[in-house]
Amino acid sequence: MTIPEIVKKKGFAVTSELSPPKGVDCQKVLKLAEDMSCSVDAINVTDGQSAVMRLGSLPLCHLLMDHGVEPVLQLTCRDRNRIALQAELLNAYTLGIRNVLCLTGDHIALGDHPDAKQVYDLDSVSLLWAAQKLNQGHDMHENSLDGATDLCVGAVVNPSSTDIEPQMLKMKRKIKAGARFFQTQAVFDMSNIEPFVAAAREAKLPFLIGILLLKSAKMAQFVNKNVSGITVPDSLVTELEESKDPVQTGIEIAARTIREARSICEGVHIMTVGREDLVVEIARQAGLPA
Amino acid sequence: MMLLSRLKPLDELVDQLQGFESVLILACNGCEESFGNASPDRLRYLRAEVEKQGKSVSDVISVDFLCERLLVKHWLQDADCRGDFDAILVVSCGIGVQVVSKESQYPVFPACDTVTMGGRFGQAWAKESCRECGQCILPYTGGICPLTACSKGLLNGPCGGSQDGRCEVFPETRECGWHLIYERLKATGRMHLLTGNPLVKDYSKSEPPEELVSLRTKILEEEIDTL
Repeated sequence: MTIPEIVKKKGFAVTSELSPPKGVDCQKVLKLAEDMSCSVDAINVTDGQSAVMRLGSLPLCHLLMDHGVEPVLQLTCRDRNRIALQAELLNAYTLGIRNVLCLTGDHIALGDHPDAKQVYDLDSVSLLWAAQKLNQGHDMHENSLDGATDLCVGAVVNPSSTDIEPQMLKMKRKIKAGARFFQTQAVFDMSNIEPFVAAAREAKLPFLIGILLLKSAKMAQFVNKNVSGITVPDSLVTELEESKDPVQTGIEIAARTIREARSICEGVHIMTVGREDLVVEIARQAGLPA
Repeated sequence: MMLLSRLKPLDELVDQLQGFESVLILACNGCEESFGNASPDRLRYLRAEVEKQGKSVSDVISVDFLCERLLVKHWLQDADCRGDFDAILVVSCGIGVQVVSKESQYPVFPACDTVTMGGRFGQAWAKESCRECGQCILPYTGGICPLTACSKGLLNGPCGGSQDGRCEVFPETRECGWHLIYERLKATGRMHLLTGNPLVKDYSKSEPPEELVSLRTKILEEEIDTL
């Protein structure tokens, strides 16, 4: 089922995400997916997240489908030119994948192969546009396809950026290029979210707010220092500092943010960075239907 | 250093000037001079084409080396004071266009596509601001090239990581190129360009045309022969 179909059916969509292993052993990640599948409607599979070389998103998405889990293929523009990107979209559709999240991709300098050549032949906007073309039965050069795709392409927006207006304009550009749903970067403070939700609503697109599990005050401080574009408010850092059980407090913060999001938008995207085993508990505490 | 450029196709030249009534043509007499884009004939042709669109040309000024900020500043002080134009058409490589864009309060447009950097080196210092892609997109990006100003070279807006106008990858040393573009487009009333159709590069244009390369080689060789 596509993300908009899930929202239509259930009123509120819950997604989470998994990274493919660095290697080929998928047992652990498939067990995590199976465990969390009772609490989420779909699972995003990252594509070379943080520019770290791993198993691709596509094979893991395919394995998730075999396990009855709806995948969202993440596709970034960092490692492939427009020929490879379009081919990967065809690959995904051929293997039964319907949801694709189009991203630009983290800079090479952040990863474990800083000496690699970064591609960025397309970016998130032009990738959405290319996917829309494939759905219409032709490639970027208007060559006809022998069988069109019917992919549901989504995009990311960062409502927490301090540079709000440029982000807003880029979101509009993504809508114009064919985005059919949005998942956001981690949000802790809903005060700036309104214009983004309104833009999605105007285009009748589901808007899923990103929820990041803070496992400790140290992690929150690390995020503030090193993850550009995400800000954890001081009040939350203090709450974690003063907690006797920071992981539990982090779960409570995530659950609280989800409850807040439920009255604002059409879904949440839960990111737990290595603690995927806690997704079910976060969803339970947030009162999300199992 | 010798940046080679060729005039943009006429439809692109005309398209970028839509909505503007009076144009100042600023031409570079530096490297370009050798390749004719800033020759009197070529400038007369450009002027006539602009006027054919029902626009007036306030002046045609030739400057030696538009990559020299001080020179550009000097010329623009006079021209900006007169204010008898609402757009500047720059006949130069991508570096010249961006220097003019930095120094002027008016929207700045490239008359040329820069196709290669090469030739004579060792005389000038310049920050890399042109990647000689052969498909100049400065009309859509406020006269600031995202290929060099953005660490990812993105064409359609900022990534999600820029914070307080700084680049997410090199926050200490780099401004976010798209933040600069946004500020420039806002200041010149052209924000609609930030929600336009997706820009996609045609990389087949980045290969310098053989006739320009052989002409450059010939000029350089003749120069050495006369020494």
